[in-house]
Amino acid sequence: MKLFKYEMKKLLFNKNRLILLAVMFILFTLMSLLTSSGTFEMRGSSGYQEYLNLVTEHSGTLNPEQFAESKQISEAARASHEAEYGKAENDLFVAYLFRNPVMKFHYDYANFGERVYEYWNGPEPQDKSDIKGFYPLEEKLETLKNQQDSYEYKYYQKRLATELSQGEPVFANKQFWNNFSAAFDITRVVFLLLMIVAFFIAPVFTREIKDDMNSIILCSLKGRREIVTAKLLSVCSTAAILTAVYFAGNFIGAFIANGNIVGFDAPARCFATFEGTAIDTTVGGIAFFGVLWTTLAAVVFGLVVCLISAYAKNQTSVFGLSIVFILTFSMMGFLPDHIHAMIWPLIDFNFVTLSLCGMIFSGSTMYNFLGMPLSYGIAAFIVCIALSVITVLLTYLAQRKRSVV
Amino acid sequence: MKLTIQNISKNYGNKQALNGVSFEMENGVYGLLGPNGAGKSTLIRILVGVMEANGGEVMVNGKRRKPSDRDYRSKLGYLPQSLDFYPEFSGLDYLRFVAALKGLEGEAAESKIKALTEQVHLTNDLHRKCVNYSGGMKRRLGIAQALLNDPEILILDEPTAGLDPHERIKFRNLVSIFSRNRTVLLSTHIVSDIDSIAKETVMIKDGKVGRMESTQSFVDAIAGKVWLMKMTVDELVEYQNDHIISNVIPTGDKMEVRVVSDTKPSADAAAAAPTLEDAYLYEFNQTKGDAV
Repeated sequence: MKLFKYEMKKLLFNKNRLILLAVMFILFTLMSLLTSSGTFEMRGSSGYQEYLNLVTEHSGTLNPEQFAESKQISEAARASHEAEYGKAENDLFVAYLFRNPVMKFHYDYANFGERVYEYWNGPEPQDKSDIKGFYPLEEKLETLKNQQDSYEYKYYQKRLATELSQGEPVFANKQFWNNFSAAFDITRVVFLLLMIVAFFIAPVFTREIKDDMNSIILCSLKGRREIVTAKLLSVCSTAAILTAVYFAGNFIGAFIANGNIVGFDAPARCFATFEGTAIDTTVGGIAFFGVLWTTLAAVVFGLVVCLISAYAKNQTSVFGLSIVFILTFSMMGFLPDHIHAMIWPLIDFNFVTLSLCGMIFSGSTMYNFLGMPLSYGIAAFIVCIALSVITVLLTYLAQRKRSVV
Repeated sequence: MKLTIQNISKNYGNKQALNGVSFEMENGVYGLLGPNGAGKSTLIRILVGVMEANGGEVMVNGKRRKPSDRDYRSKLGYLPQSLDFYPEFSGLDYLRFVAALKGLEGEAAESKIKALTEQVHLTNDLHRKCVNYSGGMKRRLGIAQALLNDPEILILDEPTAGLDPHERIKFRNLVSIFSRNRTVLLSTHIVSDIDSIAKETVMIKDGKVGRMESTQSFVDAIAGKVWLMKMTVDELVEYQNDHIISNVIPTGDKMEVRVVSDTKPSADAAAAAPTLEDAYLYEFNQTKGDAV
């Protein structure tokens, strides 16, 4: 415990690091505040109260008449906007919506109606290799009823069961949660979370070389095993604290912009990041789950950085190598399908993908595990645990073999 | 406690740093003398278990020591040649951290830290950041950390580097008192560090142990080979190229030169009582510009 306390002091609880952490917190808050600025604009406009009244009035399941009306109004508004500014200027249209809250309600309701339609009928065009939508799934299962032991049948049966348990989407005021969901975006997670985790954790072992402490540590009673335990615990704690600060900043920024957290008790599928989730909970519940998952992923990534640090000679090389990994894995999503098919485990389960809970828990991806459909979420959890165990063991081994030259 | 170093060899690529080094140590202070690059630090790193030897072994009381031997590490105190400190740690943080590394906690650690910091005169500076310490203070803090676990085997690599004369004497006394029931290996190239306290001295050169004898034996071995003679500066410049000169003192317009030589170097040379420093120079035959 004493060693852990001092490792925390080296890694995080010292003046320089705490100042940096405070700066990062302000940065996270400002980023969230700025990206929520549309909400600010809307709150300042005269139609805002009317918008809130409309959302409250139409909360719940789809009203087809309202859908038809909203669709017609929003399409007309878009057509008029495109006639004036051109098709490519979508950002201008979004800004226009935030200045016209009532129009934004119609736009949101029209989108909601589309999602309800998709829930029942699937997207258009339908991907024949991965059927979506309640009715198409039922039809598909009907065609497979003579192959009930096949993986395909079990897969679609599980998908249909998920859709049934979730039910069709409902309409709710979730402006705060839409803003907060940006914290789960790949760009922010990679550049504002993983890179900072890498920066904080990179010196965990290399600083013993820099500060000429290796000899004293390695020849001490607790210098080969207990010190590694303390370092690993400090790495996990630091990654978790950094993630907590990241989400706290994002939450506060979105809260300042919206002034409320209305919508936390709406169904989980109302949360922008998790629109296709199979997890049966509320928006608040799924956001909390997303924070927990991202914390787990950041801890796993922290352990990987710790392992690199255990084998590297200096902090710069650890940080540099971590950045190379982060950027490489981030760009893997852009690889063409035939390459994706060859290296899918590396693409689906690298630590950048693992940190994107929206990607893992919002889709319907499943893996054929011994003939049984295994959801992406469970597979990702198993990979996280396996990756943690392997990195921990290799880190202990590195310290056992470490010598001073 | 009997520490046996048996046929230790170490190579760095093609360079042989240690070549079949063997000697034994029991309780008392042992000096490890040798010029820079002789292999002293390599031998010490192998002894403390932070470096693997290519051959040979270290035995403790006749038992082979394994690198993972926790019992051995619990008996060990070590001050490395190169030592720096965490910038965010105060002296007290640092000693508490090392105490925790050595398995000392609670009141035992606190009382030991208090006693040691008094002995190395750091009590008033314990709450200051280590990075603000002077070179001598850092060295004293290093000595304190090495003694924290009351080690049965204390290995000190260049412990007096950066200490002023007063601190060096204090350090020597501390080591001398400490060594009563313990084994202390003190590596240095500053001969005066060990000439009064070392029970035996190991001379190491080019990775090999030259001799291991009591300090007095080294001194006795060169009795009648140390001379004092006077010469001009110009003569000295010429003379020092092919003779072992251990000291030069200006006396008026001439220099009094202390020469280590098998034969009387000149008719007017007077015999002088040898010191360990003379023996060291004689052993390693350091002639060119190495007047200590």
